[in-house]
Amino acid sequence: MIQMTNVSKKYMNHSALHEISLTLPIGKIIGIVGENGSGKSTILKLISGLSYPTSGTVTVNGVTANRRISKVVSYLSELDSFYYIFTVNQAMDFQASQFPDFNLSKAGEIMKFMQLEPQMKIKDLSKGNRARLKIMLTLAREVPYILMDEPLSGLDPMVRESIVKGMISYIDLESQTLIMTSHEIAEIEPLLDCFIAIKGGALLKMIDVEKLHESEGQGITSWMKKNYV
Amino acid sequence: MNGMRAWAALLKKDFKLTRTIFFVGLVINLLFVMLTMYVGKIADNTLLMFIPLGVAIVFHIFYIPMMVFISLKTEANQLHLWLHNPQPASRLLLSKIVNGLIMVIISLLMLYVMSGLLIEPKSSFIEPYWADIWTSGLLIFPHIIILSAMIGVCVLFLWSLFQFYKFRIGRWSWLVVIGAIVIPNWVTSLFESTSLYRLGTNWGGITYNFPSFSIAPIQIYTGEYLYNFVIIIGLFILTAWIIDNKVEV
Repeated sequence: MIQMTNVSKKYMNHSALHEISLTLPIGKIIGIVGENGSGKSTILKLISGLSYPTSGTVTVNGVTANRRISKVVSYLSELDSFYYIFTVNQAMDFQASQFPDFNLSKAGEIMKFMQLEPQMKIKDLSKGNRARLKIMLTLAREVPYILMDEPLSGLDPMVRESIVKGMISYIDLESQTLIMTSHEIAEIEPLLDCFIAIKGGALLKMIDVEKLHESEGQGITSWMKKNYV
Repeated sequence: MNGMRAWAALLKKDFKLTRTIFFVGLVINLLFVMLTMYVGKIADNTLLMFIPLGVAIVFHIFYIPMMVFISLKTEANQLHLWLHNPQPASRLLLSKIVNGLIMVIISLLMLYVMSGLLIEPKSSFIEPYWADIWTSGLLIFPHIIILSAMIGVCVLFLWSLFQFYKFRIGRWSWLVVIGAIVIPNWVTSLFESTSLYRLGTNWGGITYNFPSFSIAPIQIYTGEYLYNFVIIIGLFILTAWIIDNKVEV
């Protein structure tokens, strides 16, 4: 379980998050939505232990998150994050060497699904293929928590839907939770069990998508239009 | 076993990040050897011909710091990629130091072999100095490697300090880095001039004599080595702690 208790985060004079408290269970697909700069990426960085709260606590399975929480958390950054010296295959082998939970055969399957050439150098990959590679390297880890920050950015709109569906098929909802941020709400909405809405660094709402449909008779996209505009 | 495999993969990656500079360094070594040969031709039978070679060897003090800095600069461009790793920071950092260490040893060995080849035809005029050249070589080479590794650890520490402060005080973090160079140096030099320091370190003395070079004997102490070793290990542990607990992306 991921627990954030009264978490605030400041970068110098800028407040990125304010008093956020959340509990995220295993076995869900959770979307974090909000406008640009609302603090979505900061939440993922805090959970992955790559950033620390200014006040409050972040725990993953009861352990305070620091960078070594990566033992149980797989994190995909919104930024291009590769060692460009590697080929696709070498990047996969490096990931397998660093994370004992990296499933090479699953990675091979995802690589085929993503139509990546194993011998291609990363620096020669297109933006879309680099996005696919990031997804493959993150999803092939068998960890309880998979965090993806804008995994669809860089992907061609025509292939997004099939890639999102493929992504979900590689997640074991018995033992894994996927938490992702995306601007493409409409594309990920059908997959989400739950969503967290952030506005100006504060928690606006956290609700199961089904409950939102029942209580307000609308989907995330229309709810967002009503609450953000 | 898994830990060793993970660390070996890190070392391989760090080698790949810096290999271009390493090979450029070997070419520069070759140029220095050629310059030495040229000076040997125009200034026949004097030790002056070895000045370019000496300069190249002394510059190796900056070898590990430079390799460490280049490697860290690449990591800084995508810091989350380097930090999102279950291995402790000490292992991530050790890989960079060992990578630099292997490279500096290879580079110095290359110069050593090349200078041997250059000395061979001049053995008649080198002969009177031979014993001292051998002893000074034994003294200089390991000390250059040790000094280089020590400065390399200092670079790791300053870099981690910069990364720690950059989100807190922005561009002022450079001032912290400058302060972290100046203040400890000042404090250390004050401490090293005290009788307490001399009492703690002036033991296990070794004297090196160079009769044919007409210079005074050089006295070194095992205590001083231990003192520097403790400081560097302490600095390394502090750096690893900062990276594990304070550096953010």
